[in-house]
Parts: sequence; structure tokens; C-alpha cells
Amino acid sequence: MKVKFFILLFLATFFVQCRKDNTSLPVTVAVPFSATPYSINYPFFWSKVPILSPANNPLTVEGIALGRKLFYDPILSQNNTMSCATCHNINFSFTDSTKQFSSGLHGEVGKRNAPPIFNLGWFTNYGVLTHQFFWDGGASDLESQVFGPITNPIEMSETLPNVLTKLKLKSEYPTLFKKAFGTDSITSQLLAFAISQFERTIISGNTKFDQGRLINFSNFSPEEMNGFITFTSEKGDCWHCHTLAPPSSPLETDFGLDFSFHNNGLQKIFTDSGLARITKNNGDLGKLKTPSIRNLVFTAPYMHDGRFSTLEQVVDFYDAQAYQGSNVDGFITKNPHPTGLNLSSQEKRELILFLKTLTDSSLIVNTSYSKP
Amino acid sequence: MRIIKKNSQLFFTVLFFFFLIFFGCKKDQTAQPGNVSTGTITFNISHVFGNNPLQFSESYLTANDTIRIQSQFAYYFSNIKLTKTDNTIYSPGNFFLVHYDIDSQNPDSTTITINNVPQGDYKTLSFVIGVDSLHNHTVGQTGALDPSMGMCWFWNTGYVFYRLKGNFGATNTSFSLDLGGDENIMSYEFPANFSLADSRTINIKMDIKELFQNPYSYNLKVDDKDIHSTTSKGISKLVQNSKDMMSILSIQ
Ligand code: HEC
Ligand code: HEC
Repeated sequence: MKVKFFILLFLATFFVQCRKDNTSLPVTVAVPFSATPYSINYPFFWSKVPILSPANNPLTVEGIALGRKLFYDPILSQNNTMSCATCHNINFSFTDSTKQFSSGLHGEVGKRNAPPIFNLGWFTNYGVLTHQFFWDGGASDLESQVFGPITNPIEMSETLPNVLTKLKLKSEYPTLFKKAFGTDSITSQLLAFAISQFERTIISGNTKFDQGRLINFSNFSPEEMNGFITFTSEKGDCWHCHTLAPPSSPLETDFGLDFSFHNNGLQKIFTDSGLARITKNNGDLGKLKTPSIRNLVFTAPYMHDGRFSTLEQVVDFYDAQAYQGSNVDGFITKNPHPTGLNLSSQEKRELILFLKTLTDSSLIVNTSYSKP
Repeated sequence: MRIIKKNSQLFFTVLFFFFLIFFGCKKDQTAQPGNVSTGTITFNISHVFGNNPLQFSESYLTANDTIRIQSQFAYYFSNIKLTKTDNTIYSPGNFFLVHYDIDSQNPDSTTITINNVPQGDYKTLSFVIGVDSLHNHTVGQTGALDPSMGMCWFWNTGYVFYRLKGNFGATNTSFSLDLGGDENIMSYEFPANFSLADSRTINIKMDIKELFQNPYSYNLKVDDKDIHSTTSKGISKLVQNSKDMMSILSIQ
């Protein structure tokens, strides 16, 4: 009896006490909006390091679906002919076919080779905070990166206000934005949020190499194994930048890149100043973002300027052609010319055979990433 | 027994109401600035070039040139901090974008209003022209920081803090100055002795001529006439000159 009374009194205080204040608060949203949370289905043991999303842009089923549609929709370009997928084509692991430089809407070409889009979400975990994307780190996060190609006169050449107007007028988009973000007022922010969500879900790891990691690489041929050893030993020393754990290591997340910037001795004269453009630090001249060592079979030509069309050329370069200037990374200059890496033609062949074990053929036919 | 019980119930009821009245909603009250006495502050910023109000159609003289501010004039006004005589600080945290282009009204002045400023005696006003580093490294933002406002760099993520576009000299050579980058934020602090009841107007002057003089005589023919990244040499000269660009005229 007594207990009941007190419970009642407590309840009364809850109901009466702050009611006035609650109703007087200028809050208009009654029920918080929520889309369906999405969790990435990681290959193998990669869920050990789940991708971080920005707190204000969590992955949702509806957000990803919208982002995917936008990624493939030429509506983002000035004359509605060019989409993100024009230059980031799934058949080529989201690079621009075999082109050295992409051409924009008006036919102009850029100065850099279109990089692939996969496993980019991990830059939020490991990347340099304020420069994660583009070859020189010019974009600080995925959300900010989206606006570059849309507005660049030599790419999609459109203005953001125009894009937003077009999206608002196209019947399905207000509904899709509402499903994804709880509002049909389409903003630049939400456009970037959706596309970034889609990009974060593009994960590539289904390769002979990754399968081999689970079974002591018993699936490797002797040549592939020799190539792996060259890659991760003093001999080739590729793995310091294109991070992969050596064969004997326990389970690791093998990104194939180190989320960082290096001068690998490619440029004698810095026609592309690289990271220095962003940091204004001369020591960063010629440093470019380490590209992924995955899916090379699909991503030719190679390097920021697409100068090499074959992996043979790449390996010959590292073997004996890398410049030795003062900005060049120590892992390159430690093997001075004329000997360089001093790889035999057999070793070069093995290295390339190994690189090809990092090919994910399931990526390019993945129907979660293809044109919706 | 029954009576005692009733009495105790009554006692507790009274006690609960006592608590209710004295403590019940205290937290909510302090959290709501609406219940604390507040006022409104209006910043009335006049844009001038030397002694002349800024007009898109006018020509102005620097030590080196005749210049015309045409097409665009824009800046971010933010990080407003008001310090009371008891050293408590009020900072609303808003970003204001002041933006004029050739089609808009005359750029000679603008007003910015902040509400819910606690009443009391103030001694200092500080603000910045620009966007602080916490907000300057992602552009997927809303409101004044929405990238559709056209005040962003997308190839070196960040905001344009200050934009001046026009032409100069006899041949109408165009110039376009976009100042930005964490290290180039323009901060100002002024003594501001006033007491706030309902409202106050703080009259501020922005003298654009100061950008072109003291300590550097900025010459568009020689120094950068186009600045679109933080790597330009001219940017630091302009930012150093900007120290005298803002002043408080009066507080009404
Ligand atoms: C005209 C071809 C073209 C179009 C269209 C295009 N891109 Fe790109 N993309 C490139 C090139 C070239 C680069 C490298 C630019 C650089 O580093 O300076 C790039 C870089 C990127 C990167 C950085 C990857 C990394 O690892 O740093 C991402 C992400 C990206 N693009 C996404 C997009 C999205 C999203 C769209 C559509 C809104 C898009 N791109 C449209 C050519 C294009
Ligand atoms: C010091 C760090 C470093 C080392 C060591 C290194 N690389 Fe690279 N690698 C880079 C950077 C940085 C780039 C991009 C350079 C550019 O485009 O200017 C690159 C580019 C590449 C590319 C082109 C990828 C693409 O998609 O364009 C391949 C392939 C490659 N490296 C393979 C190797 C191999 C094989 C080795 C060992 C023999 C090696 N790298 C050693 C840093 C390094």
C-alpha cells in the first residue's frame, strides 16, 4: 500500500514536474528519424578492424542505395552525360578503363590517372587526418572529395546549386533522400553523405592471396611464393609502403598500402609536386599517395601519371630506374644505382606473378556495386 | 496507526511538492537561455575603402593602383566571443557568411544579429574573419558552411575566408583574391565596454584599403593578383595587412 503510494508519487513527479518545460521547449521533431542501419559483411577476418564512419554519417541501407544510384547517375554533370562511373568503371576496378588520363565533359584531359575505388573507408581509421584522398591528399575526407569532380570544369563541370535543383526536380530523388535521411530537402551535404556511404561499402579482398593467408599459402605456386618473399624481404622491400605482412605472419589485415605519402623516385623534376601542394613543405615535393597493390590486373596504366602501361615496366623501374634524389624515400635509395634491386629476370617474373595473386575478380561482377 | 499513516503520507506529499518546487526543474531552467535574462546584439558592419563606402561601381585608389571591387565580395564572420567584466565568456558559435555579388544589393554594409546574449556588463569583443580549424577540414556541412555557397576549395579541402574580385589599372586587368588556410585566419579583439539590457548595436568598420597597405604595400601588378590556394606568396602579405582592417566605431 505504502509502496504503491510512493511509486504513484514518483510517477506523478515525472508526469507533472517538468511537463511545462518540455512543452515549452522549441522542439519540433517528435519522433527521431531512423533509416535501417547497415553493417558491412567483411571478408575473412577483416572485421577485426571495422571501417569507421563519421559520427554524423553512419551507414544505412537507404543511404547506400541512394549513394549508389547517384554514383551512376549522369545528372551530376553539366550536360547530364557523365557520372562518377564514367571514370570509375567497375569493370576496371573502378578506374577509367585503360586511359592514362580521363577526359572531362568538354574533352579536356587532366594530369592524373584515375585511381580505383575500393577499401577507401579504412582511411578514416588510418589515414592522415586532413589529407586522405587524391594523389596529393588534397581532399581531407570522402564527404569533401565528392564535390571536386562534380564542379571541376575539366571533369563534370557542374555547379552545386544546379545539381541540387536537378535532383529536386527528378521525381524519385526527393523520396529517396527522405528515406535515407528523413528529409526531402536535398542539400550538398546529403548528396556527399550518400555517395560516401556507397563508397565505404566497396570492399575488395576476395583474392588468391587473401584465401592463402588462411591456409599458409598452400594455394601458391613456388614462383608466386618466391615473388611474395621478394616483396616482403630486404630484396624487394615493397611491403614497407605497400603494406602486406610477410608469409610467416599471423593473420593481418593486408591493405596493400600504408595510408601515407612517399617519393618513390619516379620524378626527376617535380612536374607534380604531390603532397607539397597541400603541406607547403618542400620536403614533401614529389610525395604521392601510396596506391593499392590490389587489383593491378584491372587498373593499368600505373602511377599518378599513368606512365607505365605494364607491370613489367613498373618492376623494371623499381629494379634500376628510380631516381635517387634527396626527397626520395630511404627504402628506395638504400639500393643505389647501378645495381639497384638487382633482380634477375626470373625474380622479376615471380614478383609479377605474386602481384597477380592480389586480383579480386569477384569485385568487378559484384552486383551490390554495379549500376543499379 | 491509520492517522499516523495518513499524516506521514501528507508529510511526504508536502515534502515531494517542496522538492518539486525548489529543485524540480532547476536543471531545465539553467539550460534554457530563454529563462535567463538575455538581450540581442546587432553587429552593423560598414564596408569602406579608405573613406568611401564600398560600391561595385566605384574606383578606389591604393598606393599603387586604381582598383574596382566588382563581381564578388564575401567573407565569413565567426567565433564571436563576448567577455563580461566577471570574465565569463559568451560565444554563440555561429558562422555568418557575408556575400555580395554584382547582382546583389550594394555591398556598403551588412548587419549580423545574435540573440540570447546574457545581459550584463561586457568588456571585450573578439571575432574572426574566417573558419576555425575545427570546421575547416571537411566541407560536407550545412548552413553558412554549405559548399553550395561557393566558398570552398575542393582540391585542398577548406573554406575561402575572404573573397575580393574585381579589376585594376587603366586596362581593367582582373584580379581575384581568395584567402583561406588555417594559418591565415584573421582574428580581432577589441575592448568593448558596454552593459547589455535588451539590445545593443555594435558599429564595426571593415576598411578594405588596409589589405593593400601596412606593413606591405600590396601591388596587384607585382604581387599575386589571383590567389586560389594557400600556397600563393601574396596570401601572407594580405593577411598581415589585415590586422588593421577591422575597427569598432561605436557601441549604441
Ligand atoms: C572525368 C573523370 C572523373 C570523374 C567523372 C570522376 N572522377 Fe574521381 N577521380 C578521377 C581522377 C583523375 C582522380 C585523381 C585526381 C587526383 O588525385 O588529383 C579521381 C580521384 C577520386 C577519388 C580519390 C581516390 C583516392 O584513393 O584518393 C575518389 C574517392 C573519387 N575520385 C570518387 C569520385 C566520385 C564520387 C565521382 C562522382 C561524383 C568521381 N570520382 C568522378 C577522375 C574522375
Ligand atoms: C617508399 C615507398 C614505396 C616502396 C618501397 C615501393 N613503392 Fe610502389 N609505389 C609507391 C608510391 C608512392 C607509388 C605512387 C607513385 C606515383 O604515382 O608517383 C607507387 C606505385 C606503385 C605501383 C603502381 C600502382 C598503381 O595503381 O598505379 C606499383 C604496381 C608498385 N608501386 C609496386 C611496387 C613494388 C613491386 C615495389 C617493390 C619492388 C614497390 N612498389 C615499392 C611507394 C612505394
